[in-house]
Amino acid sequence: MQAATLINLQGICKTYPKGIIALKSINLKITEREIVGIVGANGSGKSTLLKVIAGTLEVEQGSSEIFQLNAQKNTEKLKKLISYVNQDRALDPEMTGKEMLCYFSALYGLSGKIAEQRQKKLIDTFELDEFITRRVKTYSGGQAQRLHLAIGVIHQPKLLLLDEPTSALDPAGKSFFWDFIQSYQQQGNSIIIVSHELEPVRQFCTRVLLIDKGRLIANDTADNIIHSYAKAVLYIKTTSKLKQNDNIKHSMQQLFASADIQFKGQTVRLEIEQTKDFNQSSVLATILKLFQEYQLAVAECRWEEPSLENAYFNLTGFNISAPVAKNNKKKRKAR
Amino acid sequence: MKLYCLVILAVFKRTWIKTIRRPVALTFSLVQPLLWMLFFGFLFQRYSLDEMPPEIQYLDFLVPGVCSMTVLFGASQSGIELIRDMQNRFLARIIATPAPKSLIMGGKISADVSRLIIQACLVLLLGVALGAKLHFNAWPLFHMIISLALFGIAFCSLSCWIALKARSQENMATFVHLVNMPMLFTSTALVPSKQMPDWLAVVAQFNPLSLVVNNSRAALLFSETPVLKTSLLPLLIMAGILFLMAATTLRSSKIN
Repeated sequence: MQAATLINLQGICKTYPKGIIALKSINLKITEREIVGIVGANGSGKSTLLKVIAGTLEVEQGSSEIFQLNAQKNTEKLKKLISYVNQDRALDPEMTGKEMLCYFSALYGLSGKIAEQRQKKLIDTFELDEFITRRVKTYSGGQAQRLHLAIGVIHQPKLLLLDEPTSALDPAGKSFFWDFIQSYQQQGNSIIIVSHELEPVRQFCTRVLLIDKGRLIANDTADNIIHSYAKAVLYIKTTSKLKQNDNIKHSMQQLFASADIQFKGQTVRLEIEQTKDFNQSSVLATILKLFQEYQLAVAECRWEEPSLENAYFNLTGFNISAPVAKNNKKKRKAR
Repeated sequence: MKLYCLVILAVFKRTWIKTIRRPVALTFSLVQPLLWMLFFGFLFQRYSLDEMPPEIQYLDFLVPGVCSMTVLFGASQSGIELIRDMQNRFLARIIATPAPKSLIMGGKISADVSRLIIQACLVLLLGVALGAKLHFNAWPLFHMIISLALFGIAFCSLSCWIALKARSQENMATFVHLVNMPMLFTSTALVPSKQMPDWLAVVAQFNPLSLVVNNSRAALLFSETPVLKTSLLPLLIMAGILFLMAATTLRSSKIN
């Protein structure tokens, strides 16, 4: 049976004041029970897209249907089905965790035993019991983040939208978070996550959206995106400093016409497209043979795993994990 | 109905929790009227109140005014909490819930007004402790409390409306200073209207604070209950309009 469409965005455009274009003609369909990762450099439009889906931002153009409802006309109905958990931990520092859970239970219309049971379950699930009676201002970043997330799911939303939820978490917290996300999806819910952490996105998301300058540039499984856009990168380290660089480079370029070859000290970096007949062993054998011809002893050879980061860089010239920096722009220009 | 009560109670409770956990602000709100009564009460001890019976001293006359002033000053601060919620993104989270925004505003304002009424009663007791001679009869007192509550609703709503529009504590502070002092000095809180310059007496007549002060004085000095149509109806209308403005602004707020 085909999964029902949960989100249907058509031609969504959003421009902020001073003409800053945040989203350009976004068309997107997401089906139920998916874990979708939204990935992109800072300022690419990820959070804006999430806010549009959450219904907290109005758009200039386009239509958005969430749960087969017009998102603009049914904001109140959708509030019961959606939860948008912002990257800023929206908590009241003067209240205790327990008071916060009670408060939001009431705002979502939960009362009596149902509210108590729901709160107890959240305290257990998010392991809040140690600090739940303390005021929020005494919490560590990780503790506050867990409470923040617990409040986000207090009404058991069918669609959970998370904006950089793991940024304040330690490794144990991150692992706990992704376990929770998987179990939440298995309960029949859908999750959309904006994240800069690409390895868990690759591992746990059923689909990945790559965004650049407000455009949706890829929408597929992580493996398909990597296979389509990431290049294989080989690092070769020689025992001595490379001389006559130009000759070797010329010979390498003849062997691998489309490759990007860079020399630095004793290291050569070779970036090759993964075509159908691409084979790591044969590439390596060819390179080693060439180095032998030039009488260069190889100290170390290493293939870099193709990654989402690499795919994004090849598509946009931007690194996802690095902050927007001048050198990023330089790289893009050079390409 | 159950949902309505649930939301109002939750917001009411939160507002009170936050008030209690800020004892400095609560204490200061009582110290301020005490200082007014001490300084003004004794400074104008020999001030002759022409229109009042001779047994009424200036302190007796002043206490109902300071009582109303406490409600005005307290109510004008009501929106600051909304700005704090806005700044730590808490308000955006509240707005994202399906709870009716008018109930959220209702819960907040009812908590603030209940606090202001308690403060006004404490000010009365302080006044008595300082030597003011007041009458405490049930029905006039009840009328006075309703009058103070309606005035409190109106000014808490106005403060919340300004907060939602201004969105910063600095702008809010400007509003507080711009409204409070002119309101106080153009009312009958400190001086009877007959002893004001003519133009000021006209202004005082239309000042809502004068209406509350006059209601309070009628209750506390003469055990009288003024005609409801002229004493409470204008306050009721003002409270209704300003509450609707605040609730509608909260409902239509897009805070990201």
